[in-house]
Amino acid sequence: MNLALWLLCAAPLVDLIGLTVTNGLGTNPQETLLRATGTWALVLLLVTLGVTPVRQWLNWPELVRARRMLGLWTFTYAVIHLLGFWAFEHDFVWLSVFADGLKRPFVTVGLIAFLLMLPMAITSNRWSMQRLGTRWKKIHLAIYWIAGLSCLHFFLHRAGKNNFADPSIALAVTVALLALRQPWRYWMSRR
Amino acid sequence: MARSDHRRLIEGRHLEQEITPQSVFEDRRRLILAATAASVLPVAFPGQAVASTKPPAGLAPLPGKPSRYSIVEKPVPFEDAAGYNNFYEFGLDKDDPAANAPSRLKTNPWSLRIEGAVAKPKTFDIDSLRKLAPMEERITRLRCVEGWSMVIPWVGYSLSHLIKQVEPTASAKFVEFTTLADPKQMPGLSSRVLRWPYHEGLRIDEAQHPLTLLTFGMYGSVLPAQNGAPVRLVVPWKYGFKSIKSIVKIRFMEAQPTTSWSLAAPHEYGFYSNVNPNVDHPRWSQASERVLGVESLFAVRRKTELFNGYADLVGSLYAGMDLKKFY
Repeated sequence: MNLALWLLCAAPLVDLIGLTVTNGLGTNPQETLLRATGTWALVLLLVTLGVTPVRQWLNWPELVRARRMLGLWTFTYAVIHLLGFWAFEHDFVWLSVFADGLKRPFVTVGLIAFLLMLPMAITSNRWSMQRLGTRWKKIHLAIYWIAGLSCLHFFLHRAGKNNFADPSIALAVTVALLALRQPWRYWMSRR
Repeated sequence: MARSDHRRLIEGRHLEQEITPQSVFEDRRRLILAATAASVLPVAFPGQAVASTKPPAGLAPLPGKPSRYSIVEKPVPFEDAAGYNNFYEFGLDKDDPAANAPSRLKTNPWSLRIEGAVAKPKTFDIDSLRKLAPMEERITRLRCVEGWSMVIPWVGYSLSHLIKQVEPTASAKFVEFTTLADPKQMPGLSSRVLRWPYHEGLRIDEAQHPLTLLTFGMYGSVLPAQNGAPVRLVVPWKYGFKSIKSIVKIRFMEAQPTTSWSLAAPHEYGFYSNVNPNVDHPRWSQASERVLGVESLFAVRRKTELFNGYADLVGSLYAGMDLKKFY
């Protein structure tokens, strides 16, 4: 199962590389790459967030093994998204990227989401899990913040045309996935 | 003088091909006189007439004589200019207009009404409008407010030719332009992104400036529907949204007209909307632009020029004005 999932996660990246090589990304290829990697990072983030509810629902504890891989693929697309922003929008100048982050909320939100993802990716190995113990969980609870910030980033991106259909779907899925979680349901049932 | 211009242009062309740092060719003159253009163009662009820059056979030919206002740059392939458009009446995504407009927009018959503060108000049909003045082919850079640009060979004549015919009165200080708004042809009108019909405005001296082109074609053929057929404006020193498409009405007036974009977001889009690298859009920088139709994915962004490079021709229109205030 893990191999199939890995291939599924890799498919959009392989597709984008193929289109890049064959000049198939359209009139504004940089924009196409930035948008596609951003969309796939968000989709995979939501799939990662869905692992726990699905695992509990199907009573399938082994599914947790897929979570790390999904998270790391989310991070991979986010890295390419950020590198693309650095290369295409800022001519490879990091200082300019961070100055932009101070100026525009849209960029600020995206950068914060990425910075929260970074320690999660670094501590995603077994050794870190054992070493960090309960602190590991704290680091990885950042996924809730990352999901919220990513939706906000998507909304701000579409603000120019008031075209909020896609960000609304992302937000609805995020809210649904959070609502399905065990502690929340437990807390609700006690009231 | 003409000789040295030749050399500078040819050298500039070579420098650009080698992707030299921006500063090296930044100051070179982009505008040239008609005589120079006619003699240099074939030298500068031996490969210009490649197949990919040609429009499809379905569009009627519309030739124009080379214009003194052309810039010496290679146009993007036709498919890029006709496949990557903002024309919200046909959808919000860049490929929507090319998918929706050609089958829906009915461009013949078409009439353009001139009204308001003019001695001779008149309604033109598209054929008589095309015959009003000789067609020129003008290569200009379309700089979109979104931060990209495309070099496109337009075909049309200066709007001033039309303005002379209708004789504006002394109270004509501004000109308002209106796009067709027909829900039967334009599915995008159901979206409330903008106030329909799309309308734009110019000060009368901007409208009369020879650079303001009443445009009927591109790439030697009539305009494709998605590019604003059958008649549009090209105002090359302003952001692209000022170059209104598929015009049905031109009104001369004393008061400054509203514009669709300034109604939608007043602090983001002003009446003037001149290309200006020093005045940022509230949500992004306008200091540079991505040049579309370039082979390399990692090409350096182009430094945006004041008035899109036409400062020596239009700068005087704004003498003494605070361009940060009148954005």
